[in-house]
Order: sequence, then C-alpha cells, then structure tokens
Amino acid sequence: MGQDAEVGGADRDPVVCRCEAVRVRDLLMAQDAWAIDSLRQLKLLTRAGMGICQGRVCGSVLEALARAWGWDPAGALASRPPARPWTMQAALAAGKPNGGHDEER
Amino acid sequence: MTARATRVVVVGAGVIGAAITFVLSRAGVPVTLVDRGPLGGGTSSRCDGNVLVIDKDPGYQGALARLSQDLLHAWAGELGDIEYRRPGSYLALAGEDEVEPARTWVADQRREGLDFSYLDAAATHRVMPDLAADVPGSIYSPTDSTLNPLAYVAGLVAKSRHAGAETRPHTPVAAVATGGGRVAGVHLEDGSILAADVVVVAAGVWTPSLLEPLGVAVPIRPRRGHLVVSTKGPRFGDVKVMEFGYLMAKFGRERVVPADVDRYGVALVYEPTRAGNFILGSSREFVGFDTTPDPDVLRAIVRRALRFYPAMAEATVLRGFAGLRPWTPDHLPVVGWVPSVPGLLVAAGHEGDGIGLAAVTGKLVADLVLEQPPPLAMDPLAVDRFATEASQEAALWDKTRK
Amino acid sequence: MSPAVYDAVVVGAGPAGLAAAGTLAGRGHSVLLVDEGPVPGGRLKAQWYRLGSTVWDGAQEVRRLVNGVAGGATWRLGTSAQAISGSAEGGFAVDLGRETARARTVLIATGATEVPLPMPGWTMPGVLAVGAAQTLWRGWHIPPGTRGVIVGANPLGFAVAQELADAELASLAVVMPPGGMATAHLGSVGAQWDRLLALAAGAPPWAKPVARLLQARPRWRRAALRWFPSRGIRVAGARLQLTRQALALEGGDRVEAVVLQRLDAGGEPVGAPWREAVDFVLLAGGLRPLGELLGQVGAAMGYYEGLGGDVPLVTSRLATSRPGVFSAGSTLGIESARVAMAQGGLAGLGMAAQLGDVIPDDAWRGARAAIHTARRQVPFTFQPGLEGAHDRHRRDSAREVGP
Repeated sequence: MGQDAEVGGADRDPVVCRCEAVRVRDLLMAQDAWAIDSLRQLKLLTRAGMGICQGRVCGSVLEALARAWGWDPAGALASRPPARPWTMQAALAAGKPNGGHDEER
Repeated sequence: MTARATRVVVVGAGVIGAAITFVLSRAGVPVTLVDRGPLGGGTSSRCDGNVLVIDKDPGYQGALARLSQDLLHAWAGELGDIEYRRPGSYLALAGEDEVEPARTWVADQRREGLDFSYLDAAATHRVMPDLAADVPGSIYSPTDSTLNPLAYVAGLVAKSRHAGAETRPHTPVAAVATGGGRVAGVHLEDGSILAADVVVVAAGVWTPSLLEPLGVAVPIRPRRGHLVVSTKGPRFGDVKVMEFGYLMAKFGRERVVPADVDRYGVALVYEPTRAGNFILGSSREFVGFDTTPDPDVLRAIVRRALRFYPAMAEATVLRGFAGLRPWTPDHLPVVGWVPSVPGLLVAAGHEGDGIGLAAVTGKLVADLVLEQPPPLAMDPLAVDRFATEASQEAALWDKTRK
Repeated sequence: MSPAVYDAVVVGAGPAGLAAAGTLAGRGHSVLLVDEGPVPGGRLKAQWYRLGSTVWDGAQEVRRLVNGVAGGATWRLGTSAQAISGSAEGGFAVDLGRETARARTVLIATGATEVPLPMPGWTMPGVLAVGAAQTLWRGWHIPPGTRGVIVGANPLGFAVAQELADAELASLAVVMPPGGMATAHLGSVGAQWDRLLALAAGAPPWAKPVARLLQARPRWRRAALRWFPSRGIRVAGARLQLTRQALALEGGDRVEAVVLQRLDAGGEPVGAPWREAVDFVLLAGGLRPLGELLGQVGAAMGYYEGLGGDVPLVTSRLATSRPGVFSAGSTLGIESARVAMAQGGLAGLGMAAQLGDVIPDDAWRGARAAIHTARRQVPFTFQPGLEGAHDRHRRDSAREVGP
C-alpha cells in the first residue's frame, strides 16, 4: 500500500506551493542560506507563489508562515496584471477603444 | 585615523549598497548597511539579471562594464546559488538599415579591445532559430552574463555578515548627520543616531531626497521600466537577446516602430531564466515614483517581442511588473565623494545597469574609503560633474515627460 | 448594441454580482457582467442543503437572479478580467484579454477561493479540495468515490458531506488536519475545536450534536473530548471524529489509505498511528476572500481573521478607497450567499448613486436592513468571530475610507 513499511512514516514535509514544488523545508533552508527578512524576498528566492496560480492557492499558507516568522505579509503576494495567464496573441487583441484614456497621461 | 578603523554606514540595501558592504567588510572595515525596507526590496528586485557590455558606449562606459563583469565572475562562486551563468548576449537587428551602424558598432568595440562579433543572417538564425526570418543579422558579445538579482543581493549581504558587517533592514534613515563640518553618521527615523566616519548614500532613485537637505543636487530621476514574465513552457532559445534598434539614436537615426512601442520607450529584451520561464523587456518612462504595472505597456512589450519572435504568439504571459531605474542625464552612475561634505560618498544613478555595475561600484567605493588607487579614472562619475545647464536640462526633461 | 462606455462593469456573476447587476439594470444603467465561468452563479449554483422542512437550492436562486438581470446587461462569460486601470473621473478600462471595456464604475465581486490543506500525499489523484468535489458532483454528477475522509472540520466540508450523504454516495468520516508548519494557517487542533464550538453556537442543523458535547465550560469540554466516541458522532451524514487526526495520505497511482492518529483532550497524540483504507480524500481548508483586482487598483485593504483574510475597506455604500470601485459578496468577507446577494443590492445602489441617481433614504435603509436580515437567516456562519471582525472592519473603514 504505502511507500514505506512504518505507518505514518511517509515524508512529513508536504509540498506547499504545487506550481513550483516548494516544501516547508525549502522555505527554511532559504532562510539559512540567505539574509531574508520579508515574505517578498522569500517568494523571490524560493519561487513559492510564483508559479502558474500566482500564489492564489498557497498564499494563505505563505502568509501565515510569514506572520509566524514576524513578517508583515501585506502586499508581498499582491496580484499584478494580468490576473490570469494571458496568451500573447490575446494580449495584443485588446486595445483602447478610443484615445480618451491615453490623453490622461 | 587609519582607513581600516573608519566606521562606514551604507544607506540603501539594494545591489549597489550590498556590493559596497561586501567589498568593505571583506577588507576589514566595520560597515553597517541600513535600509528603510527589506534587503533588496526596491529596484534590485524589480529588474532583469543582465550583466552586459554589449549595449555600452565604446570607451569608458564599456570599460567600466567589462571590469564589473570580471569582478562578478571572480565573486560568483562564493556567493551561493545566485544562478550565475555566462552565456553571452546578442543584439538582433530589425532591418537592413541597421546593418551598417551595427557593423560600425562592432568595429568601434573591437578597437576598444572588446571581443564583439557581427553575425550575418545565416549565422544569426543558426544560433537563434526562433528569430523572425527577416532579421538581417546580429551582434554577439561573449562575456555578457546573467544572474538572479535578488539572490545576488542576498548572497552579497550574507557574505558581508560573515565578514562582520551589520545589516539593519526596516530601519528608515531620516537624514545624513553632520558635525564639525563633516559627516557624523545618520539620523534614524526612530530618533537615534548611527555614528560613522563615512556615509555612503546608495539609495538609487531615492538618493536626491537624502542629499538635498545638505544642499547637494544630483540629477537622478526615477525612470519606470516594465518587465513581462512568461509561464513555464516552450522557450525561444537559451541565449539572451536584445534589439540593436534602440542604439540607433546614437547614430542620429530614428527608429521606426509602432506608436505604443515608441511612446513607452520599448525595446526587446529576451532573457530565459533558470526556472524555465522567460522574461521580456523593456520600457522606459518618466512617471514619477508610480510602480503600478500598466497593461498597455505590457502589451507594447509583447508587441515588440512578437516582431522578433513570431512564434511567441502562442506563449503565455504570467505577470508584469515595474521598477524604477535611477536615470542620470549622461547615463553614467554617480560614484564619488561629495566635495562640500567631507566623509559623504554617493554611489547611485545606475539606471538599468545596477546589477551589472554593482561589482565595479563596490570596488571603486572601497578604493576611495581605503585610499587606494582605483582601477580606472573616476572623473566621469564625479558627483559635481553635472554643469548647471545639465541640471537644468534634466529638470526640463523631467517636466516635459511628466 | 453595447455602449462605448458602460455605466458599470461587474466582475463576478455570483450572488453579489448578479444582485448588483439586477439593481443597476433595473434603474436603467448599462451593465457589463463578466465571469470566468461558462455559466453564471459562481459557487451559489452548487449549493443545495436542507433547512428544516425546506431546501436551499442554489441553482434555483441563480435562475431567479439571472431573471432579475434579464436583458438589462451585456454578458461576457468564460472571460477573465485581467487588469483594471483608470479612474472615476477619466473612466475605467477593464482589460478582458480580447477586448477592453470602458466603464464609469466597477464592482469587484470575485468571491472566494479555497484555502489549501497541504499534507503528505495531498497531490495524489483521488485527493480533492472539498469545493472541487462539490462542483464535480453538483455540476457533473461525478461522485468522488465510495469510502473516504474529509480532512478538516468546517462548514463547507459539512455542507458537502451532507450532500454526499443525501445522495447515499459514500461512507465518510470527518477528521482533523495534521499539525506542523504547512498547516499553520489553520491554527492548532485546539484552535480548530474552538472554532467549531463558535460555529455550533449559531446552531446549524449539523452542529447541534457538536454543540451539546462542546458548548460548555472548558472543563466540561475537556471531559467531552476525553469521552468523545472514537468512532465519532453522526453529523451531516458523516462520522465526525474530533479526536482523530489525519497525518498523511498514502497510495500509488491514487490515494489508497489515510494514516490516522488518536488525539487526547488537549489535542496531543496518544498511541500509535494506523492506516485506514479509503478511495478518496476531500481536503476542507475553508474559504478566503479573493480580491486580486482590488490589490491591482490600489484599494485600501485590511486583514481580518474573522472575515477569512484580506478584504477591502469600504464605506456604508460598499465603495472602496478608490472612487468608483465597489465591492460586495465574499470578496468582503466569507459569509453566506444570502448575505452576498443583499450586499450586491446595496453596492448596486451605491454605484447608481455614484452615477448620479438620487437614492431615497428608505432605499438605503432597506438595502442595509436586507444585509442584517440575511445575516440572521443564515443556517451557519462560516467564520467564528464574525461579529467582532465586522465591528473592527467597520471602524477601520470609517477611519480610512469614510462613512
């Protein structure tokens, strides 16, 4: 049945960020290896929350860990456009329907 | 007082401040690195990882960049896994009208001792098979390298700490402290003073705000640059590719590009990352300190990329982001002593080359502090090099772009 | 014919967005309704549960709301709002990928997303988020399996358990999640028991037995947990096993077993772990507000555990700190679909007022009263500490955004 004989002896360090296959261990090791003092740095150095879902799934885990480590997570995982992956073809198809918006600049 | 007993405070823990702290602390100088936010939280984490000489002016600018490449190459092994690699880089040509200027560029660079070469259409497509069939040629520079910018900062800071440097992120500096006609340290926003014999302001686009109260004007302006990140998936070659076109202004030629590409100062940058994504750049705009990504600029970057890589139409954009490049009127950084305030050093204004020039900047600043001869003349980088006209021009430029 | 500039772009066609669109369209405003799903309704369309002798049928509610919008809106289903830029003065540009919609006002009603429950083995086939299982069953009649566990004891989990039980689909046990850093966001086992207790105070049908056992002074609660039947008690058609904790999921090509551990009344493990065979596992981490676009437009946000996470600060008309941008529904905090509908109605009025409509006082009063009524009617609250969180959110909002 299981991968190992001992009941419950399976790897206890689950993947936290599925998109980039980041485990809690990776988050801890990064803090040993680098000078990290914010969730944004941790994200950029481990890639946790940087995959296809852009942290939509693992965000609550990462933010709770950040709070536990004494960091304010506000803004670290903030969404940037596009909100959903965007084929380059589609990106070009949209444009401003008229020049009004451009004149604001 | 001997140079090694000098206490140094470096303000700004971006890549420039981190490199200065790295070199000084390894030379045994007691350094404190302070930043109002996290380490590398500003421009150094909102940029690409290019360490280039290919787009530098032949002469001083090229020599500075080349020196920095060699320093980085020597350091890279000891900084941990900063994703450093040296694949070289290419400038792709957009049309036949760029062929002659490109050949001139290569000849000029070779005369300066740089190992540039020109590739014709066939050679270009052999190396970069995904490039559009009508690209008539390219330029190659073999020494250009790439890394993960924030890892670079983190590695420099970690090694500095090993060497005894103190790092104080989340510690806002209110002002440079002076006393007895020279620098005394920095006033922190919590009211305390961090005493120092030398203060290095390495605060990138935020540098002028720290110098102005001292009556020191440096024409550094925030220039916003956008980057686009793809999802993991098909890539379009493993080499870094930029376009030659934006150098055309140096030859007194105008670029013929779509309106939005022109409006947002967009030029192709294609950088495959180790994680399996690729990064597209880049734009240049003067819009103050706003780093909110603008979907129209992202679109213009994509439009430009498709000009060179038509097959990218099927690729997917994951996110866009923007950072502020510290622009100067002559596109050279400001590195040197402030003549009017003894003990005050400035190291800022690297525009889009902070990652590339961090190593040489760290070396130059350390040489000044340690009173050692620098490896190349520093007059072109002097704080007071901007004549009154130049400052006025910069101010006007700023105003018209606003 | 779609106008060059819509009076309102509504992002999210769940209960809040549909209600707002209905209000706006009813007042003659041009509305563009955008949703990622191929059909409107959001999570509401998958809701179905008994309330005493009556039934709450989400799909029917969606039909009613869609009829309320009728032909008064332009629809963009299967479409993602990628980015929002601009301002109330110059107009908003809502980037829809293939087109850019211009608007005078924007409602962000993008709802909620499931909180993950990372545990060893959770990426195996046969392991599903509980909301995904609900959608598969409600939407496509794909049953998750025949013998399974729900890891995590929370309302969404119980609601799905009830549905599966009503359909006589599966034998289900509800067990506690593992501890450790990967589940730090759920709090300790003790904190999760506390939360269940707070929910039980609202006395939803499934919670009554739990309430009887737990709703007591701490000493009694300890005793209740000490004597909590190991096999569990019958709740929402499942066996709620409060003193069992899932440590890991095991299997080959798909999940085959759950590794369980008995807990004492203090939440500490007792005895050796053992395996139980399962053919599916549902992970119930809960829900959190999804307000990515609000972050993009720079709306002021705050973190409220009782509301489920980061939510925008809003005026009493549900306007965010960015003039012209409104929010309603789960994006404002995890509550029931009824509350979301009522909030949508109020946001619709707020947007109409922004567009120049004169809204009589009694209409405002009515819209606000509808929210309070909806809160009283809900079968269960999703988060403990909801009231306190509402108070703090209201205070912070008044300070940061205005009345």
